[in-house]
Amino acid sequence: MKIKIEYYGIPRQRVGIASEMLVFDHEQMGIKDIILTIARRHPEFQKHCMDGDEINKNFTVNLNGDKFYQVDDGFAQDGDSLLILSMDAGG
Amino acid sequence: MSNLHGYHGQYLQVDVTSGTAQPKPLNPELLRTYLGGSGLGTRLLLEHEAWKHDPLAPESSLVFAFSPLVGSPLTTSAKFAVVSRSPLTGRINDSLASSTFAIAGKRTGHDAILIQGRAAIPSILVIDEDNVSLQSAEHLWRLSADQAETRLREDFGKDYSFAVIGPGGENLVRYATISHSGRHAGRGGSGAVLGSKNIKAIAVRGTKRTDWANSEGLVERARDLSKRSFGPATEKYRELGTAANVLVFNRLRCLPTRNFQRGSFDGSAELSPEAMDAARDKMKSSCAVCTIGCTHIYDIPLDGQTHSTRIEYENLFALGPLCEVRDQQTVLQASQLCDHYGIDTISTGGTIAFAMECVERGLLDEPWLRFGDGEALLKAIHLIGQVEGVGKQFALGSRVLAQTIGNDSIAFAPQVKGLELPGYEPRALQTMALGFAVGTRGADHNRSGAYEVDFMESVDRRNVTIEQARLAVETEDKAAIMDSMILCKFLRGVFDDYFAESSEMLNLVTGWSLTREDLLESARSIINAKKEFNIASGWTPKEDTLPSRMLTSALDDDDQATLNHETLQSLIQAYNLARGWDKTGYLETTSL
Ligand code: SF4
Repeated sequence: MKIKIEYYGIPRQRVGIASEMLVFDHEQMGIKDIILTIARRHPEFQKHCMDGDEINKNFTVNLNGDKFYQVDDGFAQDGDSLLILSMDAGG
Repeated sequence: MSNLHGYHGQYLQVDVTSGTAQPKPLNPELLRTYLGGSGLGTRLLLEHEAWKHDPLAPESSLVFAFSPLVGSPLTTSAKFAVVSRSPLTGRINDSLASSTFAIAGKRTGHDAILIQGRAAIPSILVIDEDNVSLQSAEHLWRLSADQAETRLREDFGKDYSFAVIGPGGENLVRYATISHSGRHAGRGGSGAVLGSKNIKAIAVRGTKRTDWANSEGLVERARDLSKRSFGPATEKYRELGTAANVLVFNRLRCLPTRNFQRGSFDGSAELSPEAMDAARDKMKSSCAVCTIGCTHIYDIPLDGQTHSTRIEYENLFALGPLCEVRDQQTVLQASQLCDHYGIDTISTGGTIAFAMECVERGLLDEPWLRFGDGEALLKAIHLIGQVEGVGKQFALGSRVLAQTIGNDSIAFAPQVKGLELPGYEPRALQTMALGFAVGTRGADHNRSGAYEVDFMESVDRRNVTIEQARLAVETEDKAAIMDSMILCKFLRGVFDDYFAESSEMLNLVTGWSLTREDLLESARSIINAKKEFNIASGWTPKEDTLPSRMLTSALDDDDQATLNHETLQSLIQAYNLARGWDKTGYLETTSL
C-alpha cells in the first residue's frame, strides 16, 4: 500500500521535504508504526520530533485532514495521507 | 509608598481636558484577585462606570494596565493591556502589546494609567513620574505611528517610551490600533478611543521600581523559564512564526477564504513562510524582554525603496485568502499599509472581504472592489485609513456596514458582537466556534484558545459535543490569567501545569501564597467582571452567536463542516452553566 506523508511547519524544516510517498507490504498499517518508519528514514525527525518511540508532545499526526492522533493508535490504508504538524495552532 | 511587592499600589487617573492627574490607591485585595493587565483594567472600568459612556465621548475611560511581572526578569513579561469600551462592539475591549512602554509606564510609579476627557488640540500626554503635562502634537498629526514615534524619540530622548496612534486612530476608524515600537494593541479600536481624546501619543518615563518578594528565587525561575523558552514548545514561533499556520489550516480546510465561504485557498503556498523566506530578505526580532523572538520581518521592495513589515498568520489570512488575494508582494504591502494607518489587519481584511461579497451579489455599487483584486485591496485600505469615499462606511466595521447595506447581508458579515472573526473557520473548528460566540470582546482567538481543543485527538472538530464546552472554559481561564499576570501566550507550551507554575511565579514576585485553585478563582472573577461590564453596557444573550450563514450552510469545499443554530445554542448553554452563570448567560450575582 502507498501512504502519502505530508510534513508541515517544524517537521518539514527538519525533514527537508514537503511530502513523500511511502510504500508498505501491508493492506493497512498502524499509525505509530508508520511514524517509527519515518523516524528511521529521517534521523533529524527522530532527533527533534520524537520522544523515544512516540511522537513528541509538541507535534501531532492527522489522518487525511480528519482525525488527530497523539497517544492513541489508528490505522492507515492504501491511498491515505498522514499529516505531521505542530501541536500549537496559535496565531 | 506601598508595602506591596511587584506593585506600586496605585493607579494614575488623568484628565486630558484639564491636563491634570491624580494618583489613586489600589486595594491589595483587588490586586490579588484581578492581578493586573486585562483583569485590573476591567475592574477599573467597572469602578469608573465606563459602560455608561459612548466609547468616543470625552467621558469615556481608557486604561493602560501593567502587571506585577512587568520589570521582572521573567521572559515575555514586558506587557500591558489597553482596556476600554470598544467603539467597534460597544462591549469590553482589552488588547495587549509588549514593549518598553510597559516597563517605563510602570516605572512612573503606577500600576495603571486611566485616561479620561478630551484635549483641546491634538496633544502628547507626557507622564514623567508624578508630573503630567500635555504638549502640542500638531506637528505629528497625520504621521504614521512609526514616523511619529521616530520624531518623538528625537524630541524626548531615549529615557521615554511611547504609545502612538496612526491616522486611523485620528480619523476614529473603529478598529484603529495603538502602536508601541512596531507592536500593536490591535483589536477592538482602542486607537480610536485615544484619537477621540485628541491624544496622538503618550510618552512615559520613570525611575520607580517595585521590589520582588523573593529576588533570588525569581532570578532562578526566570533563568529556567528562559531555558525552556528555547525548547521545542516554541520552535514553531521562533523559526517560522505564526505564518506557519497558513499551510496547515489550508490542508485542514479551516483557512477562512473568500469571506468565510471556503476553508482552503489555492494560493496559500505563495503566502507560506517557506515561500516568503525563499523570495525575500527576512529579519527576526522580538518584543522587549523576550527570549522567544517570534517576530518575522520581511522586506518589501517598492518604488525603488525597501520597506519592511512584520508578518503574522492573522495579517496573511485576512489580507490574502479572505479577500482571495494571492500575490505575496500585495499582501505584504497591504499589511504594511494597515500598520501605516494604524488599523487592525483582521477587521480591515474582514470588512473588505465582506464588501467584496456584497459587490459580487449586487448589494454594493463599488464595481472596482472584487475578490482577488490586489489593487482594489490596497485602494480600500487607503480609503479606510483616510476615511474617504466608501472608506467612511468601511471604517465602521462589517456589522455597521451590513446594517447600512441591508438585504440580510448581516447573515454573512464576518463578525460576532461587531468584532471581525480571526483566521479560524468556525464550522471546521467547532469548539472555537463556541469560543467566538461567547467571547466577551467578540470573535476572538486570544481570549479563548478553544482551537487547541479542536486539535485534540479525543475531539471531532467538525462534530463537537457539549463536553467540549468545559474544555473551552478552561482555555478561556488560562488566557484570562496570562493576560492579567501578564506572560506571552506563545510560552504556554512550556508549562506542564500552567496554573500551578503561574501561581509560583506570582508568589515569588508578590510574596503571596496563591495556589493553582486561587488562580482558577481569579480567572473566573476576571471573566465575570468582563461579563458584568457587558451586561451593564446592554449585552443580551442574542449577541452570543455566529453569522447566520455559518449556521445554515456548509463550507463550499467541505460538506462535513456544518454547524447549526441548535447545536451552537446547546454548546453555549453548557458553557454558561460551566461558568456558573444561568443557562442564558446572565450572572447569578453582580458587584454593581
Ligand atoms: S513570543 Fe513573540 S509576541 Fe510573545 S513576547 Fe516574544 S516576540 Fe513578543
